[in-house]
Amino acid sequence: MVDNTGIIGEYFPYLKEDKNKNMHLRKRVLVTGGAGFLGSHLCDRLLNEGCDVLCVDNFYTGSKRNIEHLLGKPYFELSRHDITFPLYVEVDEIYNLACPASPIHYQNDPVQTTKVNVHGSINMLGLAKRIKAKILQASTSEVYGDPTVHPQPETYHGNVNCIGPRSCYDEGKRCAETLFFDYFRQHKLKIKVARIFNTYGPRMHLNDGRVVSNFIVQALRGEPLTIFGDGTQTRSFCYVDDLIEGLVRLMGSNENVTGPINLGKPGEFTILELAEKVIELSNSTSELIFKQLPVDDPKQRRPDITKAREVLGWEPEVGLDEGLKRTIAYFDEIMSDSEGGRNGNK
Amino acid sequence: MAISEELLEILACPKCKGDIYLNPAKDGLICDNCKLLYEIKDDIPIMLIDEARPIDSKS
Repeated sequence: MVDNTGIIGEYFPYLKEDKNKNMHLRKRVLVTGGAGFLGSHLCDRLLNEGCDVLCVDNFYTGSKRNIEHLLGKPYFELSRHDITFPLYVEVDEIYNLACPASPIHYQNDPVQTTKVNVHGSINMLGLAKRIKAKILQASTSEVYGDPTVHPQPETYHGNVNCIGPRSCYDEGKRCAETLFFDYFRQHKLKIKVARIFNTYGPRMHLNDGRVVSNFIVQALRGEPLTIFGDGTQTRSFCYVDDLIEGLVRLMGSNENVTGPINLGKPGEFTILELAEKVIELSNSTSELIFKQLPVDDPKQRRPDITKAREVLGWEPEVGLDEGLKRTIAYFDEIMSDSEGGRNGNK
Repeated sequence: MAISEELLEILACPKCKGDIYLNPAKDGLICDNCKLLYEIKDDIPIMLIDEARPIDSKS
């Protein structure tokens, strides 16, 4: 008789509780959005650590290609499921990464975006409560909106428009955080909330409309690089491996660490500098063109990662040059597959 | 008929979750910690704290 869920203890007080909670030698981990950009890297990492990984994705923006290499592995399991519907599985930890993260994707179906953040979070929190699992929420720097404080510490409450075209994501993620902290206070759940800043690396979407992928695709095709606004708005870019390290460390942190905790790279670049670097590293001859800045596009955002440094001992290590090189190599490979060779020069 | 070994193996005192054992008369289960005796009626252990009998520590 094994009480791994705590249910026996609750309903059958006269039965012994499981003294051997390590019945499952491997930690069982659920990754929602596991076929996405971050999710697939997280699955890689967790499998390397010897975890039993359950990857759940509805493949709206996730891609089978991202996890193709994992499909034969005995401790990797893939399930097509939309977390806006309930899910019943037995795991020890949940990483809730499911949500389209790039503006063109989440604005394509804004209602679904809010839904996956709100209903999805409720479902996952309910599951975590039921099976007494630890749960980590991938929140975002977007909760700071167009910040008036620079750089943004976790204590900054943000400056978000609640009725704009980006609001489905920003407010959805904010509401998810609210839910996490209410489950923490009301149901004593073990929660972790990470606020993820711009991340880049292999397996990003080629056409996600984000600045790094836009620039690389345009540079590899030899097309002009589109800059919105005058290019002086700044961004911080964290390489995906560093980010995953941060997420895993946060999950493994003390129980009293709930976050929110910023994860990102403080090194700040203007969009213009980034464009020039991409052109240089991909040996492209592309030029720059300027277009009008979209609504609600934040002018400045940079993480204050003091807390992550102190609490997690975490620091991003991969530099922009190295990270861009690896990302460009990936894009080059994917584009060669689909377009029969790159059109740019090398 | 006494209760089965397997059942005894998984039963715990509902009050303290500690170990319990069959009394010599084999008609009750004893928790030393809570000083309670859970009676066995018609081969069924009555695992209710309210219905358990306090036992004298010296007996």
